[in-house]
Amino acid sequence: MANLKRLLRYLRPHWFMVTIVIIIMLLLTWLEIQPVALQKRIVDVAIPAKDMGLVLSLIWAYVGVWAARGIFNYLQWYLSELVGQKVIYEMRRSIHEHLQILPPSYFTNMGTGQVMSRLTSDIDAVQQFFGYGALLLVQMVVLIIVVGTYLAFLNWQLMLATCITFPILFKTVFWFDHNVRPAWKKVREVMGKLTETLQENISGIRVVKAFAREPYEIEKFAAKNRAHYDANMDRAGIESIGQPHLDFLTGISFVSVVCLGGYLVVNEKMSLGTLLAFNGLVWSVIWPIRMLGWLVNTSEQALAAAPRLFEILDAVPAIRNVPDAVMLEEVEGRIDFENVSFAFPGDTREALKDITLSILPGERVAIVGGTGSGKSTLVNLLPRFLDPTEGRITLDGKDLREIDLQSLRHHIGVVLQDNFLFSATVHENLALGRPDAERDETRRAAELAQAAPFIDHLPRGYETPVGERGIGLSGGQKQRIALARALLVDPKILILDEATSSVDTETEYLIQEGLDEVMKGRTSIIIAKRLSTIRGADKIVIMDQGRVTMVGTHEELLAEPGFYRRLFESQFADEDVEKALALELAPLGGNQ
Amino acid sequence: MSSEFDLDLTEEAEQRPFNLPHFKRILGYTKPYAKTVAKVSGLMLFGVVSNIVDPLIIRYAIDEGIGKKNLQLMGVLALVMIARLLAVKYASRAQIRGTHKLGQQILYDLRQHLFNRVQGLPFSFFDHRPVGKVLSRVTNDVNHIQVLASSVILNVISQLVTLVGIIAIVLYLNWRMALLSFTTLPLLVWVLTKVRWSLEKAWGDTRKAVAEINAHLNETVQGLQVIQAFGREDTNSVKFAKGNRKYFKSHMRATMIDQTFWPLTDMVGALGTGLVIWYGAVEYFGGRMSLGLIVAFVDYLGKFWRPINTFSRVWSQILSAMASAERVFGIIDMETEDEESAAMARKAGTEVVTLPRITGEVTFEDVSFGYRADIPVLHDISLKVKPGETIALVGPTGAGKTTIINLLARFYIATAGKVMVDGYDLATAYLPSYRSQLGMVLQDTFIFSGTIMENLRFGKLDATQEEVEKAVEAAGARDFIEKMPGGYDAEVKERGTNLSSGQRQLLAFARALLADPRILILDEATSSIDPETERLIQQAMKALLVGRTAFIIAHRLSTVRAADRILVIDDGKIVEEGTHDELMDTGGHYAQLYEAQFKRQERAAG
Repeated sequence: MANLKRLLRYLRPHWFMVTIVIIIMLLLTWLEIQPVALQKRIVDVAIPAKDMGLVLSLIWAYVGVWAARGIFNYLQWYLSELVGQKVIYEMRRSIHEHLQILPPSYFTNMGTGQVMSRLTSDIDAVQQFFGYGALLLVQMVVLIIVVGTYLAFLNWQLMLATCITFPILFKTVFWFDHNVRPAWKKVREVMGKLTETLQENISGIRVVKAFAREPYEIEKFAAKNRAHYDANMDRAGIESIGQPHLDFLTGISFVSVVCLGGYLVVNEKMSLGTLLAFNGLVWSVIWPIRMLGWLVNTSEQALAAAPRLFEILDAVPAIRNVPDAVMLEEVEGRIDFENVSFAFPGDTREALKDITLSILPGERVAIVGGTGSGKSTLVNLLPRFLDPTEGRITLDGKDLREIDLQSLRHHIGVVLQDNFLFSATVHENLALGRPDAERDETRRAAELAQAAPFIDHLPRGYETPVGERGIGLSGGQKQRIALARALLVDPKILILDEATSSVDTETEYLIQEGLDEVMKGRTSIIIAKRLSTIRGADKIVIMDQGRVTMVGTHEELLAEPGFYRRLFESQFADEDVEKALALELAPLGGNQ
Repeated sequence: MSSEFDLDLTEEAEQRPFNLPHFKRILGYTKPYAKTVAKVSGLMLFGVVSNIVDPLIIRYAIDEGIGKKNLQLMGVLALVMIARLLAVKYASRAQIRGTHKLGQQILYDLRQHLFNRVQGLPFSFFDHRPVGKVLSRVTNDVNHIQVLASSVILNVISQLVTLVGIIAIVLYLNWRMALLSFTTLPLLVWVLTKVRWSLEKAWGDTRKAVAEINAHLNETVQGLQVIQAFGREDTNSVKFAKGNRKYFKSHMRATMIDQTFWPLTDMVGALGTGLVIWYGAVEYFGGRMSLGLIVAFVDYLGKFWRPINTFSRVWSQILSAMASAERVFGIIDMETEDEESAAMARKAGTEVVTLPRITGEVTFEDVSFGYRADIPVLHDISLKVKPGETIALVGPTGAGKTTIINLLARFYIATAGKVMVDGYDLATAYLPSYRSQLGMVLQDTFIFSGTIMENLRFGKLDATQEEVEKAVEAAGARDFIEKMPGGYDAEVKERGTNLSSGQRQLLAFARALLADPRILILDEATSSIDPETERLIQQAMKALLVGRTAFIIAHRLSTVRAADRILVIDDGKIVEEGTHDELMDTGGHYAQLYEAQFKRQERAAG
């Protein structure tokens, strides 16, 4: 009930139009009876009196009534759709607005599929309700009552006889809708699975072929195909029972009108015109009944969908601007972690424990550690994708939480291992942070990130559409575009979270060279596993189980046994280690 | 990565002109179900006839029963009408079932046929063709064709019978009044076709607009972090508002057209009814017409719109089925890999050969190849590899390493020259017999959704538990598998997203090991993984290489050095070959490459 109230509240700004729609609806109900009433007068009054003039004027009235019905019908639907669409527009707008201030983790926790189903099917359900469901539901009920009363007024015995099948009609209507919806749902589910199987098969076709697995895949697909057939036949079974039965019950009502009505006419208890009026109007009672099941269900669906939308609308983002947040103009790039701890919501274990770390302006810091050591969590604190549960982080001495979010993020460039590209051209993706960027600027950024060579090979170069509806790029290519797009913004602080993990060693080396150039005077924080990337850092931070265990330069860390030493050894083939170590320790020269 | 692919991003036509061969071919899918077609047609005809005689019964009841106060007749007629209703009920139940069965069977057949063909298609088909396009052939297009084959045609026939039947009856009842009532028909046709057409277009626009909105929402959710990191919330909102607005407008437009449709149909109907009543009244006064006849006429008039409505809709259904047929049949008619082999054999005057167990000797004989005829990628490659040899392929990106491997796996056929295994030309080999002896571990390890066990058994469905465990042990994957909840029965998500890239690789190694291939193709992963897994992978690789011929696209120096022979590929040619030491002594390409790598490491350290 609370949900219904909240839904209806969306109608409040449109109360005037809603009132007009209701008035028109009542008028239309009255007009529904008129054509039949006119026919009745023609048959009962005009024809027996052989009054051709009256017949003609009644015919004109008849055509006029239909014209009026057309006009009012049009008006009613226009206005109600206008209201419904305005409500939906507003709802979509506010949800979209709200989406953007929620943390991404909110949606990863909920699951992208779940979120999308709320944003599409649930909004659809609400739209159906506002667009026509609610109005039709009311209209049908009014129609049943008004026409039913009119018919009872004409001849209550005949009305009673016509109604005899109604209880079964009601029952069948609700039975049908109750069963056919789940059946359709099942069909959609099975189709979803079929599509999934298909998608996996096509995406993995290389492996399928390499293992000569086609026969097995064909069988697997056939099973899904069969399931789809079965689900559809189940649905067809319900439909084949429902519809003909409803038609049968409707027919019985007509038969009773004609036969019982005929009996009454023959016995002169009723006029022929009344019989014909019944014949014309019974349908106006029956079809609303037949629609009720569907309409009630539509409304139920909307009421079930609404709370799922409200939940998103009501979610309060934990990370927000404080009221008097400071705008960040110039940034030097000094970062201090002061006793920072962090635990994910609902998790008692701390992902970061008491971290204190200073990063100087222009410093290049590498963070190294095993899976789950807290590296990514640590860097996510900087653009405030997360906030520490304890301690504080300062940028140039200012607590991050006191800085305006957008202005903070403007100065920080983040490149992740897995980067999302939008369905747009390469150029548009590159210019994401600076939509006004000129063509040669995006090109330069792409060159720095070593993305230019492959972009030049794309069919339409920088104008090639990428993303979901464009050309598929490899992980390494996506990483290079993401890097270029971060460089284009020219951030004072750059965070690379395994940003070149899918790029081959050759290219990675070239990227490093390019970065050395750009990173002068900027603070950079790099998470990487490849030694070649880590080595050149001013400071290497070793993390383990949420703690910083060691900090030092490459040489300092290599001198001590530990994680770093092991990492170093593992990246050289056994026989290389000694040679490499020798090289490492020997004064530079020779090969250079 | 090359420029050699076609960009298949063109919008697909929703409708195509009528094409008789395609139409006949679609009808061909109903052939196995001729019995069902006959049954459904019979039932449909029964429904149609009983529907058009109904007003006649009513007329008889009014004129003969009520008019002549014949109650007995009324009783009989009541029974007749109830009997008719019952008959129609069961007939239409059987008809609905039959139609669906027919349609679903055709859908099943067509979809399966298409899928089976797609499975057999050569690589060139899948290269750079967005998965979504193939998907939409197998999900949507087959559906359009099915609807045409199973219901559209039958529906048209039954509506045609209805229309002709009604016209005949009203002409027979009173031809003057019939002709009079026909005068409104052109108007009805005009409303139904004209409005219908713009209506369909308007709803089509609306569907497109809502699809755009949803795509945008999807991107907002998936790219939220990027949007927030770049502070793009406002621009994103503006873009969304534009789409939202567009949807609002197109929906309102569609609604407005929709709401003129029925009122206009009603109006035309009312006009016709008015005419009939007027003329009927005149005739009735003259004693030339009964009341029942007028009622029957009004009834018949109301039955006109349905056939005309069906006809107006059907043409666009046919045209969209034609567009789908063109795409689906286009794929079905493509040559599969097996057909390619057969064609090659025919050309060479031999037959397709089923390979026995091979030793793994590989020969390239003057092989040239290009993905597109005008851009050659490999030039005159000749190569002989002994069974059990490990070959490392090195060279710059785009040199042709992957292409060599693609030819060895017979994903493509050489444009000139021969690729042979144990002396058998791969172009004419029966593929399953060859590929079942081939193992591949690719850079992008593709893991299927399902259990770990299912993924391991991918190459050998009947592997016993011991065999699986042995392979897993050798591949160094035991530890992580046993740590997973459920162990071997642990569910892997689509594409193995719940596994790390290192774990996916180990799994791929175990999978390949279990299949026990004679020839192994390895595209060494470039992505970095943690030191522990790295060591496991190195060990697994050693285990995998024992006793097999192997081709490795190598990125690691250690791998290269361990190889029996190194092929240096540049610009589609083998420019150098030999062992590591030999090549270092020569001081050519390889030596340079090696130097560069070392120098780099050194400089990074400096």
